Amino acid sequence: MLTVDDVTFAYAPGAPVLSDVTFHVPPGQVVAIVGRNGAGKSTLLRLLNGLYQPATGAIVVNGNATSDTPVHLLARSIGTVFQAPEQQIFNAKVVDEIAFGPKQLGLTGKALDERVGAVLERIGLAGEAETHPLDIDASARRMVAIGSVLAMQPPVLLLDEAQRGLDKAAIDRLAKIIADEKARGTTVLLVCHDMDFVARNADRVLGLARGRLAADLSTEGFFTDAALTAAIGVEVPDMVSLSAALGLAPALSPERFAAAWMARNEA
Amino acid sequence: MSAGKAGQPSLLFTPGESLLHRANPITSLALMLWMISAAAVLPTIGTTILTAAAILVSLVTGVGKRAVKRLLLTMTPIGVALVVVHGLLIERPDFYDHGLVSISPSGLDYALRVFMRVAAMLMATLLFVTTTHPADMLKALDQRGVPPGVGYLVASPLLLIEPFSDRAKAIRDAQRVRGLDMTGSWKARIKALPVLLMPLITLALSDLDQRASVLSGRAFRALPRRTVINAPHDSTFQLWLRRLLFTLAVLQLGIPLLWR
Repeated sequence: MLTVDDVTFAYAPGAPVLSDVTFHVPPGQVVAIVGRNGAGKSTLLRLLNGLYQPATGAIVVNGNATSDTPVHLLARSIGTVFQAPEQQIFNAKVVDEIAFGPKQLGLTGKALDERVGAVLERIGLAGEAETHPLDIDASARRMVAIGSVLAMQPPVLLLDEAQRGLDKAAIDRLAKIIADEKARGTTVLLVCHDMDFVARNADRVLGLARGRLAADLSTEGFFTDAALTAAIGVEVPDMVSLSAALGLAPALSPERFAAAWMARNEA
Repeated sequence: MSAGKAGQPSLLFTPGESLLHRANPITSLALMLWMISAAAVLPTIGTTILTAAAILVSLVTGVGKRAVKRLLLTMTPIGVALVVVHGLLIERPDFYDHGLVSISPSGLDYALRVFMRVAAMLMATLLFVTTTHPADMLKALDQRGVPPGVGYLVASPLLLIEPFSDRAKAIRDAQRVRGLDMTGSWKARIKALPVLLMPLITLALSDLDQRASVLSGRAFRALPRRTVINAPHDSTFQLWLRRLLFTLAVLQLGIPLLWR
């Protein structure tokens, strides 16, 4: 579904931001891209959606090489939710903002209405369809940005710090959206600094350090390697630390921690 | 140097060690004002020499590539419009038929005069903005005892270019990845304009309020005169040069008005 082959990128000659990055993500997998600020996460994201072109190497998204496909056409294969949703909102109604992407893909009439209606339900804003996007709270506004990309039904979904600024209910809703997308075979990539969110939602972690792929492991494998997480500069989620301290199997969520704790007590 | 995400500088300022870079920003401002006032009154041959001299200075100071590129980008459509309107469209007494088109030599002469005047003024401005950093300009104004509000009013448009330009790029990227075609026909590009401008204007207005609150919160206008750390270099020679340039600028504009 998504193949990154030996990619190198630099903003200025002689100062590569990404070097020799190679990985493949199959359909229906949720992958987190983690690393310190400046590690190259956002640059990688912009290479994946075709906004930047690699200096060497190749990126293929859903069968389309990013080097040969214009960004607006690549948008059919890969949807991106950027960090600042305000930067894309221009319509006077939430419903029109959600409909913008599908309209660009040529969707009209009943098919468009049905798709937009379904997305409004998924993001929990069916009751705000006619409201101006700038009149709703920041959390809901971010959900509008997420919804506007979901409405395009891309086979690959990139979420750049999508959970940041969301309230508890919206974070739970986002987690459900990610799980639903995974179930329908969408490849989801999360660029994320919130390791609890990564632990709960990702199947696999790609760790970037100084522009190189320093880790490509299952989420559990990544968070139980203390030396690796320290080298990449990310915190180990509390649940993983707690379960390790109590001699339990690594738990990536409170639910799994509780199950492991109950099982030990019952034994 | 300020740089956007893609490593391309958003400010026109280009670092350097030339005389103009090292000059006090008020001196550079005086030079720009003198050049603009000279361009306003000189005949075409004078504005041509002034523009050529400014281009030469920009090349010597190491800002030539950026300045000349901007000059060409701005002046090419203006030049075409002036020739079409004054040379071909507006009927004048010397309007005569050349077969396919009718041309007015006096219209072309007028177009050339306006073109060179605007080019000289633009080149003077480009020389100033490519060699003077807005932050240094603010410091120099503070140093001269200009009220903070006035200084901010002068320098803020230059300081805002960078964040505004970065935001415009971010908005363009956000819309492109939602399928907006910005590479197609002119019709498609014009159709895309509201999609790009609406968030830019909305965010700029929201920024205004935030900036005003931040400045008030930092007691921006509490003291009429602020202490300047790392004030730009100044000298008696530059002080007299500035006085001369300001006087010349006023005389250049004033004498033709009084003697007319």
